[in-house]
Amino acid sequence: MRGSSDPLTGGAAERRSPDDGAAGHGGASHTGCAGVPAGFRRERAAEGRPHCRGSIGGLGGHGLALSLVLVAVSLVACGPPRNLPTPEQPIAWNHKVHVEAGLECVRCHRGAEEGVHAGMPSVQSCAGCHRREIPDHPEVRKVMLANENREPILWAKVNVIPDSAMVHFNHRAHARAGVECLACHGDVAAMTVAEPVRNVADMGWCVECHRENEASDDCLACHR
Amino acid sequence: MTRWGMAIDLDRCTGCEACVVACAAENNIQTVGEEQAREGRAMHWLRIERYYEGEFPNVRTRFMPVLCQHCGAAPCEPVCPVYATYHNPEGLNAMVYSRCIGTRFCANNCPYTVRVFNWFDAEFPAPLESQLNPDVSVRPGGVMEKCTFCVQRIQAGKDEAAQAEREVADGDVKTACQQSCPTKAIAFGDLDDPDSEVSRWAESPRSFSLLGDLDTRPGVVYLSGSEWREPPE
Amino acid sequence: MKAAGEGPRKPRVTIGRRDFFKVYAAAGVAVLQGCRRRDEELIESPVRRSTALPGASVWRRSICGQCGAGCEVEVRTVDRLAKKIEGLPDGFVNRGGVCALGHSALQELYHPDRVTEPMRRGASGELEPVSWEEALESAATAIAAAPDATTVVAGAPSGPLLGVWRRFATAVGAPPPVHWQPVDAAVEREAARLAFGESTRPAYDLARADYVVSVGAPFLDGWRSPVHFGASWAELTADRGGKLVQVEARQSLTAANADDWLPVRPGSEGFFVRGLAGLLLGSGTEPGTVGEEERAAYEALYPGAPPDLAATAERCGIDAGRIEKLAAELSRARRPFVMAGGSALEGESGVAAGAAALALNLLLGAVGREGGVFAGVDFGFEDRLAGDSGVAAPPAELTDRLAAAGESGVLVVSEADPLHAMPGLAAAFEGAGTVIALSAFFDDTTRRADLVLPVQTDLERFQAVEPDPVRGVPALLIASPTVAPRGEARHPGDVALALAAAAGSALPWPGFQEAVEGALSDAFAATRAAGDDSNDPAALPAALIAGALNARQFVRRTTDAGGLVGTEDMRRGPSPTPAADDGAATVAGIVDPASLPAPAAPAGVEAFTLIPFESVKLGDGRGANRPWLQELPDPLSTVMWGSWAEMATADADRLGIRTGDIVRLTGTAAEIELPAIVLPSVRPGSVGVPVGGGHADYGRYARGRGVNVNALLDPDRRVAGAGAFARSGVRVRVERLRRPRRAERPVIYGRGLRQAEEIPVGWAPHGSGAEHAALREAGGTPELARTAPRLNRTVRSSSGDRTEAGLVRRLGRPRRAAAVSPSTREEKA
Repeated sequence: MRGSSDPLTGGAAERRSPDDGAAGHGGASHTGCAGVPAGFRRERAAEGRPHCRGSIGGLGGHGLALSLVLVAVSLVACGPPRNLPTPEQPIAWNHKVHVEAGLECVRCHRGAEEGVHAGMPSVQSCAGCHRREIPDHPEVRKVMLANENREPILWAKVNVIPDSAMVHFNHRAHARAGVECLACHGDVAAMTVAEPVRNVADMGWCVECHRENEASDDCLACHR
Repeated sequence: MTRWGMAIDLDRCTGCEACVVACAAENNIQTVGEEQAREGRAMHWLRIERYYEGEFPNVRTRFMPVLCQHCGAAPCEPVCPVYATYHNPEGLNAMVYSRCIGTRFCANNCPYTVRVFNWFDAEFPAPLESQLNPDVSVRPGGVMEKCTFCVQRIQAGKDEAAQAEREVADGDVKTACQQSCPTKAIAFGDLDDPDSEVSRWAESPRSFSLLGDLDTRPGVVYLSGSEWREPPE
Repeated sequence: MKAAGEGPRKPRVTIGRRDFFKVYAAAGVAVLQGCRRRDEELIESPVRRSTALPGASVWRRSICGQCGAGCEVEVRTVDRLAKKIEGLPDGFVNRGGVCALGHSALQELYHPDRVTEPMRRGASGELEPVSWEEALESAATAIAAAPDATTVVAGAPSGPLLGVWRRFATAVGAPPPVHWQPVDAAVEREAARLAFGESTRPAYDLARADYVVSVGAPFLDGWRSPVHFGASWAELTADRGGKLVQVEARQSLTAANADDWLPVRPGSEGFFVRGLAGLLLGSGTEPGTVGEEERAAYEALYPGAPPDLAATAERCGIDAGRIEKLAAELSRARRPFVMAGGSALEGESGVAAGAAALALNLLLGAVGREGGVFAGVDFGFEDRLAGDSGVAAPPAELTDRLAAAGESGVLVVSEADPLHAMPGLAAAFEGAGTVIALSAFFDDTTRRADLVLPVQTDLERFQAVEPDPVRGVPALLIASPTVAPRGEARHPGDVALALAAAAGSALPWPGFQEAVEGALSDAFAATRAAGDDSNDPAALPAALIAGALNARQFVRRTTDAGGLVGTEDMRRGPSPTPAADDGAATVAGIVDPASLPAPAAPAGVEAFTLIPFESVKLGDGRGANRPWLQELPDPLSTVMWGSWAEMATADADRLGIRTGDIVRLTGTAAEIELPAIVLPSVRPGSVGVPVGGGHADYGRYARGRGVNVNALLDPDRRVAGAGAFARSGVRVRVERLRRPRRAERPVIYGRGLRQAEEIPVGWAPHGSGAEHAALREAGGTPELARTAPRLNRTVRSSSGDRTEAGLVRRLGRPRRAAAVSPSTREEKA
């Protein structure tokens, strides 16, 4: 995790309300992706926007022919980002403490920069450190127990792209492009329990950032 | 700009169907079972067509692998009411499952009949699902699907190249059917690169496009010498 | 956007993706309340550390064990699960290719009906799980009680594993194992012994020949090494303009790809090749085309006069002109050869036919010649592991052994399903004492077993294989397991060794891998001791051990390198003269097929000759439990999911049979009913039925699927001189029963090229491809609907009986697929 953190600017005020979306397109389900002939594509408002990198702001605006289905629906479901539900975890794992202890994101999420999936550390790895570090802490005990029983730990995903979206997200492609972890995950270093700050299932937000950074906005870049 | 294309040398194809199984394995294609297959609902993205010429004993048998032709002017694309299928900038006839609402207009309009519809959710009794390719979505019931030119391999090839800070080279991306072919009857690559293997094959005087009269401008080129000739006397 | 569930829906369609909308829209409240416990919302911390990044592909080398070919493969594993099998690009046998059966090994590995724990038949008569210790002890007790009456059936291809089974049989005091192998393997070996004096299955240099006559050998279907032969065939025909001629009554996939198919009467293949020899030798007025040396070598074997052309044409039921043409082309060819296999060797006179076919190579000077026939040499690791144990017996001996052993008999069946694949065994099995099955599935044999020992499948096990010697270059291929075994499955070699130990006659190795390493180590020592120029059979070619300081280093190096591979210069021809010393009279067992009487047709019935064959779908039946293969359309009949009878057009017309009709085939002891497929590629009077259907068990995808053609075979019919049962040439009666009921219809792959009679008006190309952009810029309004030609021709699919020749010609018209430039478009308009 990089040290500096921009304030989380993206908020409810900047986002469209579900009504905007529904009214604007009357339920048409096409989006602004490459499949739509240029004539169908609405021009985006040319207002300056914060860059995606290191920031998660800039999601406001209007007139985007983004996925109304996803945006509208996810807003109905999840409300503004601050109200995204924080899932209950089997172990009260504290990101802040670990980052303060000097661990970087990729120490545990080994694939975050080099791999397709960020991944979770093995139980063995956790136990490796905690054999020396506070092995008797009640939450650490749970990890040690899982290790003794050779049981995997099932964490609840904090940032969920549902299977039904059929999206294949590639971490390393984003890392390569210089997108920082906090652009999507928020300042996890400051969190005790990891909580979602962005709705990563919001396709409009994905496409927005792709376009601003001249990344592919072809559907097949993600959906396959 | 890359224009992905394939060339299939019919003079090398034996009809062994290794490609058909390779395709199923790579692309998580469901098997529908005996009853549904009898209803014509088998899901193959790639099939081997068999033709007989002549009568016994002077009979000639010909095989032709047929898959989505990734037409430059695809009849399936304009009939989709939700833009679930479109032509992507790299020459792929794209199929976006999460947009598809299953009207099946596209399948109806495909002269090559290569589009298949998921009449059911796929079933992979445990632990068969362990084999599923994580790079390819398992399509739910109610959507169309068809050959993607192994788009996941194309994306992986680009990703690998970018990671190594180089351009995608000819041969970096192999489709599953191409890779398994015992006789190397399939070439795949960039048709806009005149030096690519597929372009060289496509330049062959033996090349032709399937149902060329329809002017669909396929991204798949077939090669055949005198092999589709009259049967011997 | 409509909410999920609204609008018309087909009742049988489950629109799963709408679950997404349901959850996020209709059931959004539930989401907010935190009810998010679906699999996709969980992420696992694996127990063990891995060097691979999460979700990253790790490619591991393995060796395909689906047949004896020994293709080297790469297995894509992700998070320790096998995902895909690809050919190793520089694989010794396969050079990057894999066949349909090879791909499907994944579905064998992850089959939902795998046997994953040892089981024993309890007092209730049901199989119950037991521990390995108990299972081994029971097995050892049974064997120790009757070692003489113990029969081992080893399903392993030739090589180290068969060697271990031979050693096992000797150790426990049982007779040598029965080697479960393809029906024609023993026949081919015997034919090669008679023709060449060396009883190995020959190697064929297809890639460098220019003219190949295959007498029944279905080498593109699945015979011996289809991937190797496929690549070689492409070199022969596509790259080098050579020619392949296939001689057989039912068109196999190989014949379908041949330049010429000579559909001789089944059972007359031997007569045919003798007649062909006659043309080459010349007779009366026609001079021969062969040299004196070749003539002498051939006539030493076949001193009798070959049949003349007219007799050959008559007996084989083939046009004399086609035989003459073949002989003329053969004699003009620079590097021709003849191979034999498949149905030609599976009839009662298979050995005579095979020997006569192979002997033609003497006449053509093809033996040991580039682009010809070589000896099937190997490094002998089977024998190295077997020590001085007896040689394995051919499959047909199982019947006799079972009959002899009776109730006291103990049968150890490893990776074979004789009850399915061999006729007439059921009664003998009923009478057998104890059946111990080493299997990954409850197949027909295993479900009858008293003790079931689960074995690992290809990708789970340590592999040490001597590939089928089709290249004439010896090799031993070794690979480590690619994934962890499922359940308690063990390596069959390890089980053999554990069983021997439990029976109190432990072999010198703790496991199969150690056994192979021990044999490598011994081979090193023997090679070192033999020096450079020895003919010691225990020695390896000296070059293979060069650079290794000691046996240990050699073993390590060999296993790391994936085995030992010989070089092209190790190829040699089989001994070109028979082992005998003074002419044909002493060549034990050689029979001139021309001297055999023509088989008489049974009187009074519509008697067809049955030709059982192995399809690329199911092989010998092994593939029947994989959904991919069951749903794979057979390339010729396009049938999926079942058995079928291939009938000739002329026969079908006469009997009033249409494709799909249910027909009854009646043999001497049984009858089967199955749908008929009418094809122009079957010789009238013959009926082809694929083997491998009709399993009594073998998992949910195979159970009761199709019919078992072996029921029609006569177990007492043997291939003379080879110890194999004669699968081909049985006479059956064919009757039409009825149009199929709905559930009986053959599952014919219904798709084919279809053209709409006209292109629907209103379609136009669109998209953002560069091509279209250029089109638009050039002012080309995409209005192809108006320019597209109206097509009146409709085309029948490949599931139909025939395709109109018109289509074929139309397809064949060379037409480049280049982008249509605006100018061409204008011309069109």
